[in-house]
Amino acid sequence: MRQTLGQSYVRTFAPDAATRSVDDFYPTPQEMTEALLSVEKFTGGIWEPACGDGAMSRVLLAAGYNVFSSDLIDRGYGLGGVDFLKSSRARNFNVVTNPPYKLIEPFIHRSLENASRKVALLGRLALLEGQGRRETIWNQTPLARVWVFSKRIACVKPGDPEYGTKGGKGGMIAYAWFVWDHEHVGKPTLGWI
Amino acid sequence: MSRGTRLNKMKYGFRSQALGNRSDVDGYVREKNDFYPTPERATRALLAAETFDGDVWEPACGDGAISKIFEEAGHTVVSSDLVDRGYGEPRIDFLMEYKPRAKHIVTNPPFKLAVPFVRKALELATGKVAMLLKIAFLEGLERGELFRNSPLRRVHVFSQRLAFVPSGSLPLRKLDGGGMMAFAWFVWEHGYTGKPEIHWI
Repeated sequence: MRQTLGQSYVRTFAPDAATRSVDDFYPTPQEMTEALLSVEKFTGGIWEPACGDGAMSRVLLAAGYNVFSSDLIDRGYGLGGVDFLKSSRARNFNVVTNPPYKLIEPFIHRSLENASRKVALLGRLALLEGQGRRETIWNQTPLARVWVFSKRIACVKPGDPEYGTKGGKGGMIAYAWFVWDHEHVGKPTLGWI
Repeated sequence: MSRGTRLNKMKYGFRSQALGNRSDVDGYVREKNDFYPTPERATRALLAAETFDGDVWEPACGDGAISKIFEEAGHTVVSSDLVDRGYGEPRIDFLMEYKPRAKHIVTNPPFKLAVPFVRKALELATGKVAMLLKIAFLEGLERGELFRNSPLRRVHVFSQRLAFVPSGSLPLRKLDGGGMMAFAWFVWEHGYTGKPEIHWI
């Protein structure tokens, strides 16, 4: 199979590529998606463009949302072979996903182009800090809210003994939901979930 | 906890933490009593982003790194520290204080004591409390409770990392970006009831 830009990026430039799951596949624990839905409401449909095995899509569907699921890789759920970073503007109102961490910046920008309402991305809390992101992200985009997890949840690949559990090595990383809203004005606010 | 017990805890707790937990190793054995003078530009950035109308108390003043910049900006600063580093009033255990010494409290607390420092500062200050803390302080169960129940107003995230070089100690080993950490000024203001805002400085 011909490698896409995203795949080759992950394989070539990720410094920890040997230890990362192939294509950065880490299913999202159900409670992380539920926590988002407890504080954010979405009007209209949702596109989950890195749906993996459907871990997040299933929770969104169960909450009554219309969900379009796609992924670069076909993992037996949703539409496979869709490179979100090359996709053109769709009619979806919102984007909700847990993007490959190495591609989070392009995902932010592409999501904001593809969604007319809200974008909710699960990312590391450390994304907030520096290294030029003030110019490339924060001053450029309508970030509305950052929802910080009060407790750590393991975000690991299936088969890992910690899959679906809390804590452990997967729990070493602090995550947050970053929510953009095209209608938001003013500074982003912080909340805890 | 007695002062002696806490001093021992600070001394040995920090050391074992530094050697046993990679995430806390910043390229140096942790300095005794967590003494890392605050880079000048960190304090200047706070002064550019926040106003303090009245006196300021720096209760972990160290060698006066923060106090000096505030005084230079025209503030009256009350400086104290548990340890005598030749600046301010020494042997003042902030956590045992019960009397406000100024309207605002601004400090770079020992990270391991950050939560008690924040609680105590909120008790004693009537204006603002500004604490220089790692961004990771945002997260965690205990702190989630702290933030939900306190008037956190703004978090000023540094767009560039700060280099903290412990005075008088030699680099133990360099890790990637050794000595560079992601910090933010956390600013509480009594009377504020809205959501905390994120700013980049």
